Amino acid sequence: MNFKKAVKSITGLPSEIILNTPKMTVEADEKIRIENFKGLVEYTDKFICINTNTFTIKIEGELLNIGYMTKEEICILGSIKNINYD
Amino acid sequence: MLALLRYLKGYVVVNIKGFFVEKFLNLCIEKNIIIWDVIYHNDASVTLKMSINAFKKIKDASKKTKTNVKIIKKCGIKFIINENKKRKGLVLGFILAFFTFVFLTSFIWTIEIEGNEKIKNEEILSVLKEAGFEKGCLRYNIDENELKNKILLKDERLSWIWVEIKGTKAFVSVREKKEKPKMFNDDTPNNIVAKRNGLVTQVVAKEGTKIAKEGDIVSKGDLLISGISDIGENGYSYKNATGYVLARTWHEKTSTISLKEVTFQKSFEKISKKSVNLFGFDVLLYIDKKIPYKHFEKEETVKKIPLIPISYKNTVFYELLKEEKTITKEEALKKESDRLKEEIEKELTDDIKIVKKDVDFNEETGKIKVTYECIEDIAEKKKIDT
Repeated sequence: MNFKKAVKSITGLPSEIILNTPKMTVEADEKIRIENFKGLVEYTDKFICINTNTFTIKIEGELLNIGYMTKEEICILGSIKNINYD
Repeated sequence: MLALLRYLKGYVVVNIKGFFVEKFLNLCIEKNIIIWDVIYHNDASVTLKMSINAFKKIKDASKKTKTNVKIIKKCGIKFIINENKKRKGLVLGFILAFFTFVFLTSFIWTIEIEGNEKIKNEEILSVLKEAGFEKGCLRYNIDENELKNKILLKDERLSWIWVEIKGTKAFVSVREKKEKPKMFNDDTPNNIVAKRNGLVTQVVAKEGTKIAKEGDIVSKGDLLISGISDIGENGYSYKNATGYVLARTWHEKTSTISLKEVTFQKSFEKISKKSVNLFGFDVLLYIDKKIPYKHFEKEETVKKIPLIPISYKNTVFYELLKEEKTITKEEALKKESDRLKEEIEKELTDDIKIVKKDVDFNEETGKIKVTYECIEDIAEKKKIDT
């Protein structure tokens, strides 16, 4: 881990590639794009729970649906009220 | 864009129901499947879309998570093809229609000619036909420029031709050669002769010797100004005689009058005969070609459909009733003399001065003669045969 951190500080490459940290891109209250996630824990239209390398992300809202889902990336659409990192 | 690609490859809309739906989704993406439009429903089921190839791989995943997978919709070109495999006739018909369309629009079906005043349409069409351009010929291999050059060479009466092919219609514009104004070379030896009979009032000669003088009565063709001059021993010199000769002339017209006047009036009877013109062939929509009226007036209306050589023609025949009326002598006299006067005046050009108008009527024979006395220039150039 320290070696990787060293590489990051020297080269300045983004951490989601070097350290595999999750990267969240939030657009207003309608869209969240999460890269580098591990799995889906829970999914209903009011609550989504996503697992990543380091922590879990909990999203609360209404009419939540998944725009698309691949091995590394998931995109959540809907009316987002709350984002929690645990 | 992406949606189009997905549609081309084909995808299914699936409903997943069960206890461990999230686990199922995780297993799916582990197999490198992309899923999209995932929606959660109130009855704890999830609807999602995945490609057809992906769908084939999820059997194990659904077994492991004990979920029920149900296909709701199949979208994609592959499914359309599968469905139409049973409808070969339809596909064949479609292809046949397409090729028929392409085939039929490869020919020229209408030729429209514009700009010709003296030359008739049929003449231009026949010249075009000789050059290989007629109704029903292929429109792809016609070289418009070559055609234009060919026709200009062949027909000398045309000074300009333009051929434009728009679809299956050909527009041909022509311009005729205007006659060159007769230019008299200053060296051409000419005499001036009388172009009508008359009584000479004034002779003005710019070039040449005056032969006629004031007060002479001349007939048509008489020499007025001569271009030949005798120079004694050396022979004759020839000049281009120019000048003008004013003379008193008479223009007259005769006819006989009749005391009966015949007029035609439209009655209320009419018959209409309709026909349709397809691709140049007339299809008559009636059987009887005879018209039951002795006298009739014809009125044609043609309705054309744009771009297609199909037109509808309605010919209406109005019955005319002949009416014979007897008119008084004075009326008949006035009518006929007016008519003759109109005829004479049509022949007179603007530069002829009208001095007197006379109407002569012979009671016994019924003959009427209208005479116009005018003063005009009767000079006419005539080439000298040397």
